[in-house]
Amino acid sequence: MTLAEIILKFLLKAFNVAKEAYDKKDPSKLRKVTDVFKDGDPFEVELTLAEERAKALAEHKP
Amino acid sequence: MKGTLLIVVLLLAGCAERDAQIAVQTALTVSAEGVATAAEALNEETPGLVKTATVAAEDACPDPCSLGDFATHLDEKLLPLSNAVKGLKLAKSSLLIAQGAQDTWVASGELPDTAPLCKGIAEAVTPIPQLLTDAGVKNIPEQVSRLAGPAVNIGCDMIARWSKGGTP
Repeated sequence: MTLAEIILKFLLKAFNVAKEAYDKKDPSKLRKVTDVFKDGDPFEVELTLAEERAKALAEHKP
Repeated sequence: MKGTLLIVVLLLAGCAERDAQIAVQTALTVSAEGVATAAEALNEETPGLVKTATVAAEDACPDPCSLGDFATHLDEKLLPLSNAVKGLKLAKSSLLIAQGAQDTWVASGELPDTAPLCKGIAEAVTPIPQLLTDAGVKNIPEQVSRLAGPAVNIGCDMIARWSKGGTP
């Protein structure tokens, strides 16, 4: 085996290791903010607060 | 041979950028989960907090207490709660905008100008534990408490270092 062949073999091995590492790291497959929040949906707490406020006003006796 | 070497170098450089993108995505998702947990904690305690505010508003209202006066006093007592809800909404929208910038970076490889965005996220997310405390929430989950810590800034630091050409 010549020196050039040894170097080429080493580089191919390094290529495979680097490619494997690159393929494993895919940020697009991670959980996103949009997965946590349903975009456009208000927080439930906003509705709860509005409902409880309305209830308190309705139950108020002067 | 030179071509293989070049590809290896490019792949390794790509790995470093992907590491940065993964760190930023993780920081964004953890922050979003913290905000969502804060919203749930606030939602659970809201009926009790409104009852407390109602009693306080009735006490503060002159007798006889008209509906208008009562509403004014009630809204005053509910102000910390309303501020907490507003803070959560602001944090949510900031994080959604940041997700858009992150998606652009991952899809195109081009990092948008995120410095103002990062500042906005930090300003929106960091006060949340205090807003919940001010609103009277007793059981603040640990995940929410961490929003005020330095972990929030990790993603921004990573972006800043990457955009300056440094190794994250």
